[in-house]
Amino acid sequence: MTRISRRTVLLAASGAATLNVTRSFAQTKETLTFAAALFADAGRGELARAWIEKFNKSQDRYLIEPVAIPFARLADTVFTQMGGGGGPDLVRFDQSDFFAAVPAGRLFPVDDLLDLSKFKFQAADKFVKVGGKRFGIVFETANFGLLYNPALLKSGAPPKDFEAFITAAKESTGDGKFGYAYRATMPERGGFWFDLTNYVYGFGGQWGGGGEPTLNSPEVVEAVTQYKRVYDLGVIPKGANAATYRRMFWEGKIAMNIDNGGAGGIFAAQAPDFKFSAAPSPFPNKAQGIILTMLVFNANSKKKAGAAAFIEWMLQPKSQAELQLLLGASNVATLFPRDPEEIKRIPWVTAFDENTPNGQPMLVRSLENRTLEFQQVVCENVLRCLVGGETPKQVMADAQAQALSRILRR
Amino acid sequence: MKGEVRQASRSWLPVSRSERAAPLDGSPWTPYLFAAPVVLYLLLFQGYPLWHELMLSFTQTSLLTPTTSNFIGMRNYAELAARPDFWRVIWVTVLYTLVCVVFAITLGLGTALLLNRPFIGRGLARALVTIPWAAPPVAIATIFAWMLNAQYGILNHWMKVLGLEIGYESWLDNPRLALPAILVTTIWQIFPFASVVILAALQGVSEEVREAAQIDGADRLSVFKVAAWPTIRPTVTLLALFVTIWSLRRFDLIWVMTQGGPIGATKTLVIELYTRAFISRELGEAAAIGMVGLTIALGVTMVYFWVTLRAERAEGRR
Repeated sequence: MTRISRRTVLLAASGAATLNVTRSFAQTKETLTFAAALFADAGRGELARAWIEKFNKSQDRYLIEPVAIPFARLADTVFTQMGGGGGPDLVRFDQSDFFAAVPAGRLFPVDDLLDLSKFKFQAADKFVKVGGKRFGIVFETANFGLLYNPALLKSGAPPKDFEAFITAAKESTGDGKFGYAYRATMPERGGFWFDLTNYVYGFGGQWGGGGEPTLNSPEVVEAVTQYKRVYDLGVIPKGANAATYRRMFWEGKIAMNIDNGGAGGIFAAQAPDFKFSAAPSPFPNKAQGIILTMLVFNANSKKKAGAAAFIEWMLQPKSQAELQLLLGASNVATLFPRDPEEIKRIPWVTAFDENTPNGQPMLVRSLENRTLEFQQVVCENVLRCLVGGETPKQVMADAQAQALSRILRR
Repeated sequence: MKGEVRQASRSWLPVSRSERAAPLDGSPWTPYLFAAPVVLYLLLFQGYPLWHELMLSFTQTSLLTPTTSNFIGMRNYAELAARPDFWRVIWVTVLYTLVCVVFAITLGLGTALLLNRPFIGRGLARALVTIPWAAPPVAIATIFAWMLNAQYGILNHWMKVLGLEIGYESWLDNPRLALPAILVTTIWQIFPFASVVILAALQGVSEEVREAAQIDGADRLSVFKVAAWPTIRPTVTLLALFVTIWSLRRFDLIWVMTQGGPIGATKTLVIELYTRAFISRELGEAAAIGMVGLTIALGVTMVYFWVTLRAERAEGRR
């Protein structure tokens, strides 16, 4: 057996001590985890991580570690972690997840972290306050509008009303091209809900109100009827998911698409030479949905000072400007005018910005925290009329009954 | 060495009662000690979660507040039983499982018999046949979803080329076609496993019995029935049990391709369980669905043991 000399032991001890000192220096910064689907997005994810890195460089006490979780798995993952007493310190939640997390006591009020009175927030800010308390900061809002390819439209101009839209969709369908595209499949339940909700708002409906679901109201039934009408016309690429039909759009195979501004950003990035434009959605009512995401602070986290530092940094004009630029056609938390150069580069963005006053979250009003469950019931039943041949009135009556018994347990 | 010789020379002698009862080291607790780690593992990692799931199924518990539950007795089970769509879920699960078992084993048996015959390139064929089984289910589901895509899918493309154009058929969005499409994908993935296992079992078939049957003038089917089937039957039965249980709990492939849709056409028990637990966030109801699934799986396992026992008794092995 080799005999270890006293000198060797001393050397090893001093080495270990050096390593320990180095490690303790590195650990002087408190690390906060920030989970968001944005970090997993192709293109935008890298820019978002670079934006976070700017915060890290500006700080000597805190570090933000981005955690990329794909959109479809974010709520399941984070809610399971939160239920177990853990989870990321900061999360970028979708609107329906936000309203589910608040009543469950999973979020810490942000106005208890820092004074936010000095910041001037956008209109969408009202949606992050529940019971007089602010449970988040708007991270991104994306408005919806009609994206169109002028080359495929007979008049080259966008339709002004719904009947003109139907005519334009029919005229531009044929020879491998489609007049329009939307989602109508369960694997894309979230997107299906967004597209359907735009019809509901556009025809003057709401999913709920006064603590009651209104799935079978005449406006909602009318919206579903029109959704089915478009489906049955043969003007859409049935079964195509959003990734597919967005690709078809920039390949010049789709004439119109009611989508959020982010989709315009994708077209501009993927096909810089492709000419498209945007206009208000062709519905009788101007109201349209908004995709709203919020930055929230996990109630399980003890790192309040770090979270406050990040929010303070995030709301600074420079950080907001950089965030808005990386998000593309979306808006950020505070009122922030777009750079004229940006408008010149993507002129269609103004159509989305102008729709900001008409934007509403895609939630079941007054039952916001149950939105995901409503989403499941509504999508399943609407599919019954789209592919199962039943009438919109019947399926929405069934959806209402199922919502009352299964979700509200009445 | 000397001891070994002595031991060997004694092996024909009857074993005394005291020798038979004495364990290796003389302690009656030795077998229990050997079994203890496995039993502890099963109790800790299988028994406790199952017990917890059973208890959870009698409560109303949200995923967001899992530590606060309301005891509601059998209400979750009663509500499931009262829902017509839940019975449809059971029917889809049973249908999916049955078709998977029948086709996977039939195709697996056929392929194994083919691969058991000598031909040029047999080694390569045996290696190639395992590829679908080795591929990750999520990758397979994504590839098949693309192949079945209405616009860009190769299936519609070839149908068009062959003049069988039926419009842009959306296979996974059609309630009549979605389950068959998923079944084809599943069977394509799992039958190679059945094939490899049966092929291994076929290696144990006695050549003498086979040749004797052939000399007696038996046709191919009779040779198979007399020589091969008795040898591979226990393997095929066990395989049927495995494929049944795997099919009952298959999630990834169905979720990626249809998420149980359209209008519940491909919704199996595990898809319903996931939907209730992570979309509706009703852990209590999801646990009740899990218990229903477990009961079905236990039922299938009991049938398997009963069939095996009966076969062994018929052969005089018990």
